[in-house]
Amino acid sequence: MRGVLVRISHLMSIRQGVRMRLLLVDESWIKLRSLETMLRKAGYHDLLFAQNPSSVCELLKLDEQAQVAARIDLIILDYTLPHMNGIEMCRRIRSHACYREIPIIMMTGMRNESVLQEAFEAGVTDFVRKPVRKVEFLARVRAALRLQENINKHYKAREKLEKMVSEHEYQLALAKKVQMSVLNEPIEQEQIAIQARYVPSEHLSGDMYCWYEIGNGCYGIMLIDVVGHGVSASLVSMSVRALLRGLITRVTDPVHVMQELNRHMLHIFKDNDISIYFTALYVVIDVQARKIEYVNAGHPPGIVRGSKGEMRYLSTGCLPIGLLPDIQVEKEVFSYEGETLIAMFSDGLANGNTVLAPDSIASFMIQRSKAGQSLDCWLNEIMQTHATEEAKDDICLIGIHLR
Amino acid sequence: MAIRVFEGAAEKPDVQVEVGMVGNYQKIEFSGQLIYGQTEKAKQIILDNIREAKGYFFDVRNLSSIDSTGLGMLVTIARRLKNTDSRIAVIVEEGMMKEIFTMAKFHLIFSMVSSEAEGVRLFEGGSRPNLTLDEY
Repeated sequence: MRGVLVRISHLMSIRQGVRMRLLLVDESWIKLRSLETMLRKAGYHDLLFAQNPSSVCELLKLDEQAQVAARIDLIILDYTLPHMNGIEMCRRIRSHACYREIPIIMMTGMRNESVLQEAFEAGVTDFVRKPVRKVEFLARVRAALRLQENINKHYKAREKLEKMVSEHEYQLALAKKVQMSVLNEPIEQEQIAIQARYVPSEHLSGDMYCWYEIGNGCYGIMLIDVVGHGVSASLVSMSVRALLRGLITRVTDPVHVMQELNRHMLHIFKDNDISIYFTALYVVIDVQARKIEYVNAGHPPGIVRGSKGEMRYLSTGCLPIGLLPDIQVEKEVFSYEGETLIAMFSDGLANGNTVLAPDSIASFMIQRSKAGQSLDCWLNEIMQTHATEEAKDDICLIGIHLR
Repeated sequence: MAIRVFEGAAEKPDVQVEVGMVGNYQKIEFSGQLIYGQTEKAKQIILDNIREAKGYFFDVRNLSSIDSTGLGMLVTIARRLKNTDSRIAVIVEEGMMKEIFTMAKFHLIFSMVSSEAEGVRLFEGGSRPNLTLDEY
């Protein structure tokens, strides 16, 4: 029956493992049967037939709005078709996004070079000269199907990769939510206000902070920066974070807090082949006694601006945590009077310029901090002036306002 | 004669490592950037090229930058050498690089010298850094 799909065979050849589906297009039913015989003998059994362009459009769903492709692996197209020639048919097929890559073999008796060139430009992959000779015909079919098989493999691999990336992104986004969820809410009390800004360079951050009211007007504020970036650093920071609440509220002396953290790190990562450690700045503020004590474990110094504009760098301390057993830890204790500002930050600030960042922030605190300015505005200004949009390292900034 | 053992990928800021001898001491000289993403391969090649010596110098005078991962790599190498009863000193000049080492308090575990000659004098004079390699 002219113009209608006349036969679909789903038999698969065991001989060649052929599962490819071919669409044969020729207005002559006799020629279609001849091609079918050759292909079946060669092991290609999954064949579709069409005798005119409208049947091709119907089979390939070319007129449908939805970009749904029929599963076809190779189209063998005669140059001579009713209503439009094979080149126009080829253009029509290629205009559909789903068939930009599918191999199309054109059968033609024409020897005119300009026609061949036009056909190639229209998207024909290969030619078979008419009258069709079996050996050449099957060789070209095999070559085209190999090409299509590679294209299919490529698309499957890409699909798999995209799925993996999508799943990975989803998991990272979820992990980021978990990490963000453990960050403390700001404190706003009569004598003390604490806020932070936190910008991971990737989905997850090796920086972590927390603060707790220890009791009797004492607050413990911890900022840590784990070596490296991303997932591995965030795993370490989260494992440390899990300890901090108990440690800070139970052990008040910053020296003991750091020693305990050091023991913990060395215990967990004792068999590791790489150095896993973190720098930290731990500050304990007694707002009743107006006293500050701290330990700096290899971290960029915190900066204190006193009520009279005097500056102090919080540098005293010990080695980074997790490097060596039994580290010697030194703390510094000092008093404050009146309105005092403290900045604690990781080395991602000032685009990782570890050495210049403290001086730069200190200078900012001297020149720009105004009396009565809210902590929120103050932190925003530091971030605007010191945090680049494309940070290469995690950024964490804690601001403390003592009144 | 110094052997160039590693050059990082061209598209990344690269680190270069040269290993050579200064008398009885082996010198590992870094240049470029010893930062995250650059340290692992460098570390492995350094470990492959470490020879038995009375002491080791980490020469960081030609490094343009180092981060916590790079500092950690130096400690990893030092740990590998802990049973050799050897000494380690970092050759670093005054300036930003020395400030980074000091800020990270690495001066507590590595002797800091400004030249090979000063390092040799330190090793042969018998003075010890705050912590010896056995304590790593």
